[in-house]
Amino acid sequence: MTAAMNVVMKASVPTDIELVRRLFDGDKEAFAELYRRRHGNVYRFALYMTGRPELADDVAQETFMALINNRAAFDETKGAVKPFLLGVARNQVLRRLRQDRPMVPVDEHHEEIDRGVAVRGHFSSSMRKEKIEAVRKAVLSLPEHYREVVILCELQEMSYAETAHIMNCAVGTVRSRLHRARAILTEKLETARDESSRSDVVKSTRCFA
Amino acid sequence: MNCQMFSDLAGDIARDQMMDAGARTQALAHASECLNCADRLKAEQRLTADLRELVSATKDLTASAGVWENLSAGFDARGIAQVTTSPRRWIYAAGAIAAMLLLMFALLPVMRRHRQPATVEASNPTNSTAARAIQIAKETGTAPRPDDLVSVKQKPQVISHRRLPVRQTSTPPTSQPKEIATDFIPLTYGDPNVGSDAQMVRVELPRSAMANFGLPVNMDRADQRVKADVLLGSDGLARAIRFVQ
Repeated sequence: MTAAMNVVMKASVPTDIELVRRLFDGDKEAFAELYRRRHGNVYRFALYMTGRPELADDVAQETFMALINNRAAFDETKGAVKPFLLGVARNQVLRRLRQDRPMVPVDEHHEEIDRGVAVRGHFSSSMRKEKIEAVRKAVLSLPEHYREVVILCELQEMSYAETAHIMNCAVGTVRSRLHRARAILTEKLETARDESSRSDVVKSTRCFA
Repeated sequence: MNCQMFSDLAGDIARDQMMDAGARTQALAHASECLNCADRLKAEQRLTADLRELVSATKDLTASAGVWENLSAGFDARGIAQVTTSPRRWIYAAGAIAAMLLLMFALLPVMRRHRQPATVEASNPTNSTAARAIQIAKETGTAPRPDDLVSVKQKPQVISHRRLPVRQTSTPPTSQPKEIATDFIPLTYGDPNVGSDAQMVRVELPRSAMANFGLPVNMDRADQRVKADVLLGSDGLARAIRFVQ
């Protein structure tokens, strides 16, 4: 009975593509629903890429604005809505990063992460916060072409094929970049972990002393 | 499996990616034997765990409320723009068509004039004497006397519509080449009344035609052509003729 109800529920939930079709017909509710579903992906992609919440806001806004103003840009035969939105967001982010290259602050994102952690209320441990912050900084410190592939494959959980479609490159390129990016991240995080454990040892030694 | 091959697969194993089951088994077997690869696999698994923790910590991050407000306003404005622009487009299109039609109607007479033959008979002042003779002949009901018509010495002025009237009047009359003309010879087979709309037409005839009117003809030049003015009545029939040289 429950399984049958689930099937009925799933059937009644419109897909992203159906929402886009309705939005093109002027259905604002469909647009609102699509925004609710997908704006987080777009926003977080931009935030991970730039480390700047206000820029991520702008990117999210421009991405959805591009969808409603340029309906010809979206071709449902070429892929799903989420990769399309992330592709638009990627272009926006890269353009902005090239414009603002001299100044990319890192610390603003720290506050954003804290806000997210506070909202969820799951992170009471400061060590965990530090670890998450270290991971975020490590990702943000990657070169753009490695950063975007880590964000798409690891943080947005896109497949290699979808990532390749978004980045307009071959799947093999995605794999090799991800492999290299993970190696860099592992090295950075392991080094940070070693330093952290060393400082913990020093602290405890001082404490005992 | 060697360490290099393991290195290529370690990331996918740590991420629980779909992969060939045989390759996965071989890779795990290699990691159980090779200490370095085992450490590598652990590091990859720690990285995956760290990244997933970052995803978990940030999954509730969303854009600020202002973004949706702007998008909502943008969507509404787009709807209004769609509603208002479509009739406007029709108005613009209709206006453009109307303007084109007006332009065509305005240019049509000009184009017609350009297509017409460039010669039209001269206005009255140039042959006022002939007109007076024609008028007298009309009143008396007889053909115009050649003596009256002789006074029309000037070549009938040809008006080209491509030229402006101002330019015509500004041309000094002395610059025009003078023509020598015979008297008007009445053509007796026609009605002597010329009517009110008499016209004079410049034609070219074989020189031998002069002999028919009793004029001397040089037989050496008989095959050449000679110019003549024919006076036509309102019914289109010739009333008189004179030869011009």
